[in-house]
Amino acid sequence: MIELKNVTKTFNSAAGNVHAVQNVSLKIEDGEIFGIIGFSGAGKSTLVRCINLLERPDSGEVIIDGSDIVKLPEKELRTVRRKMGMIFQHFNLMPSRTVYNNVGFALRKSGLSKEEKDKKIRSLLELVDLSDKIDSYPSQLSGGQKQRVAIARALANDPKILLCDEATSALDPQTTRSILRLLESVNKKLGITIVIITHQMEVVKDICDRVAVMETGSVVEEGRTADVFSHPKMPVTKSFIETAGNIGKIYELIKEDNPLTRLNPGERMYMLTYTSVNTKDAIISYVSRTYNVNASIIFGNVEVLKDIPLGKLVVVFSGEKDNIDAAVQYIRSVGIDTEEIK
Amino acid sequence: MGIIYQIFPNLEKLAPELMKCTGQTVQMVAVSGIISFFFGLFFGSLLIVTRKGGILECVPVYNVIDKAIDILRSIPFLILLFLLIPLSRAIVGTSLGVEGAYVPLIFGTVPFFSRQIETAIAEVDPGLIEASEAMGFSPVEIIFSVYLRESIPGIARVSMITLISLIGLTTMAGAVGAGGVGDFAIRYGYQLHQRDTIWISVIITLIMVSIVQIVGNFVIKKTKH
Repeated sequence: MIELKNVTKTFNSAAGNVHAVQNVSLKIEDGEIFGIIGFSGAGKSTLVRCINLLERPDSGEVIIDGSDIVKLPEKELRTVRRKMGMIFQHFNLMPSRTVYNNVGFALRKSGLSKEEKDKKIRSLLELVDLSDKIDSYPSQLSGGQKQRVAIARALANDPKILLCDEATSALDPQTTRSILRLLESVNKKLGITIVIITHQMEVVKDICDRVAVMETGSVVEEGRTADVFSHPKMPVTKSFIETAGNIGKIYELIKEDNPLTRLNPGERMYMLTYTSVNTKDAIISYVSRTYNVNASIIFGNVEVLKDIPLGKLVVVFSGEKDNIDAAVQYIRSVGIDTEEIK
Repeated sequence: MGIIYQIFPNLEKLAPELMKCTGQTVQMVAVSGIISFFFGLFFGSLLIVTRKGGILECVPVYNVIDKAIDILRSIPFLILLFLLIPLSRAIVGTSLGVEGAYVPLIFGTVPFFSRQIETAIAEVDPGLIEASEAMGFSPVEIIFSVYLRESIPGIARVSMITLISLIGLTTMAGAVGAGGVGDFAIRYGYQLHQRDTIWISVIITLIMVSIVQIVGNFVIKKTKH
């Protein structure tokens, strides 16, 4: 288990102090995929570097499997680091070494014999599906292939934890998906705890069990991915949801006064946010019949958050004012977030 | 052969002397080159790891080396030759001849070369250093396996430049009695007005420079991926 307790890190520069991480406490359970999402400058990269002490926190504890590694001397810290793999946005492969030697580099201090290393390197490259590129140099590989080599390298010393720092940010959407599938299978097959730092909502949505949302150095929201994104509390979380789905588009349309969003007298526009419990229920047609209002869906988006569907609909109600009020009240009463947006 | 002796009338008579002087230049370049190479790698790497944000950050050490390099580089080599006479006597036992030239040649080369090595190593992507630290490697392992290993093409390039400038310095050392091709050109070409010997010196120097460049480019080509 990874446990961060009141971790704080400040960078001093001529331009002033930057509070990169402020009093962050997190618990990451064994075997889970934990996402840390935030816009650039939120401090998430610094936070992940506090887990393997590439950045030493100014205060706070970093507890890995029960012991605070901040207190360890350098030499023991290096042993701990070997049990934590890390992959990066720009892959950080050694350009002068072949794929084989890049993975082999990580095994230098493993104490394995030459034959054992060879066997290990080959099996790792098989795991990431790159056996045919064994003698290539990084410059001959595509971005996705480079990240696969980096993953093989990070797994070389049988780590229990894999830290991913914006690992898919430099990749196209299709390659991103294939890397995420690989990470998922690594998590399932090898039982490795994965910590993912990202600014991409798709990544969190796709594979993270739990997520922490960061803003200006602090974790502002944390919980199961579906919970956090179905009932976002903080504005920053809401803006992430908007960036991911196309639902944010509705606000632009309203601003532009698009004909689609123009309302006739007596009409009101609502944003309905569904969660797993009621996505399949026939709420709209039910209220329409029961309260005698017309409901027209002008915009909609259903996401799948780690196996849980999450729906957002923009609905225009028309009818008697009291009827609309009653309909909205009913919708709220069944647990659907309802917000009047125009 | 006949036509060569026609162009260079003094070559036949001076051939043995020319061979001896060329040998002296090669010896000066080789000995001070090899010693300077290791000192240069050492100080160049030290600058990189002790600078602010380096893996063994130690700003006082960085500042001392940095300033020492600047000061030594600003002394003209001809003055350095005379300045280091006592030091050369203390270390090698003489300030004369080929042996007497080693100390000033090394002092003239190391600061320049260290700076060049620093620039070459600085080109190593900081991400590689971070990845190596994350893999649990110690600073010394990172210096050898990442900084130096990954900048071999850059090191080859700056070694080539330095070696060529070292060949230039040895001719100056010749002026104060160290021997070598420079000495040959001064004695026979300048003092005895045998102009063809100056051209012979130029050709010998050109051949040496070309060999350095061919070997250097070969190493760069083989190590760059």
